[in-house]
Amino acid sequence: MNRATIATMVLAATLLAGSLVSAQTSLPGDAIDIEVFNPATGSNAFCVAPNGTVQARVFVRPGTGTTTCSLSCSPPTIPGGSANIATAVVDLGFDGSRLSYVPGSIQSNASTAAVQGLPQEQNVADSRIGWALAGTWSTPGDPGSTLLSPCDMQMVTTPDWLFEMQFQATGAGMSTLRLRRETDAAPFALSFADICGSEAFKGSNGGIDEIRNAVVMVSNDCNDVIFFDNFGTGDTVRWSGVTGS
Amino acid sequence: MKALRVTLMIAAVVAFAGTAMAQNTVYADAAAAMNGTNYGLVLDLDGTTSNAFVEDQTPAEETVYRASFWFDPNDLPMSNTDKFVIFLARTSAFNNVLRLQFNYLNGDYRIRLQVKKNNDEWADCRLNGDLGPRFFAIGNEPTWITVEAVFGSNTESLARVTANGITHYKDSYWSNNWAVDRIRMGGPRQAQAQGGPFTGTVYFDEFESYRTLAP
Repeated sequence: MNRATIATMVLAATLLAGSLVSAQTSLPGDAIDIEVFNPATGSNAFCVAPNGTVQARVFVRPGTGTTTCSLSCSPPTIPGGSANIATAVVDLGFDGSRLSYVPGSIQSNASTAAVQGLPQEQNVADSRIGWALAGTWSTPGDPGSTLLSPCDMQMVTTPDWLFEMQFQATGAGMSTLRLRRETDAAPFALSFADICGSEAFKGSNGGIDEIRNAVVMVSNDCNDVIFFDNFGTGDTVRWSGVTGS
Repeated sequence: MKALRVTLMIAAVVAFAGTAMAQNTVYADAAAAMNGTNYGLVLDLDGTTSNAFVEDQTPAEETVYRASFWFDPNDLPMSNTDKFVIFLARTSAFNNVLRLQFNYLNGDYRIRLQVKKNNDEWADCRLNGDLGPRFFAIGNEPTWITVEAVFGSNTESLARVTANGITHYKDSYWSNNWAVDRIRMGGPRQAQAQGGPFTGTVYFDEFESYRTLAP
């Protein structure tokens, strides 16, 4: 085996490992987790040159809670609970003075049930991008088609990204891609639900327990950056350690 | 009488517990947001001497290191000549090699950068290298501070602090024994403080670090 072949194999293994790691920072548990992450690194951070673009993804890890319900259709027993997400309402805020949304760039993940989600671009002028999963359309992602029966509903059952979008860096400094939530000054009901009709999973009822925003830094020196943080996650989790907390 | 004694004992225990739990703290809060962000870091000083800081361990034996951040004294009550370290760079062997001191004198909040030489002595960054003032005023307002250091031979070594268009520096010394492997932001490290303990809050925000000097 020559050196070039070995190098190719090593590179392939590295790329494979990188794609598998995609290390989100939230941890599995009964409740649902949601993160904004950088697909290139798996981290909740982006460094971008002035006028450059970042591609951000929203990742969801369903919980481990399960339940079942019986509906008047076949099959009669439908899986529910935080492990079986049927609907979602997500809204992402960004700093419009530093980032601009690239029109039409929001895309659902075609490889999962998330392909049924609908981008919400109507609030871009207010620096907000939304995404909603309401059910399963007969033509995936097309609200012009009909909604399938709940018994035929596809659900988000495995950890994966739901949707992605691009932003262009239009100003200097750091900003945060922030998942809006109930506790914001202008509250937003970030929530998920199963098909069984139980109360929606929210941060306020413990149905969502980890919400990770992403920090975006605009810099000419991204190749030489070591670390950055604007505490935009509302905590100090990006730091290696904290003494006196 | 016995009931009164018990009550007094309980009160004493509660008071002692309260004292024992007191400590300086750091936490993210909207009150510390600067430069248009939503949150910043609060260093909340409660009159005790405990350390309180965030630590970044991502530097990896960096011989060239630069960090910038916003800092706001936020009216912290201090007496003349009081000072404490708000930024500290350390080696993998936990030697302190670069420290930014925050000071108060005659109505001015001031800063000074010190760098460790190979001979274990601290050297001050001054307006003209070896001459001129060591501290300079930053005002009681959000200030963008940049600290830089090159660790190397006597022709390579450099330490520099810049804020509000003012730069103090030090060069021509040996420092090739050192490299930055971790940093702390916050304070006060009472062992390196003068005066205090302090009561009040100061703010930090938008920390960024690089393995190059400022362009």
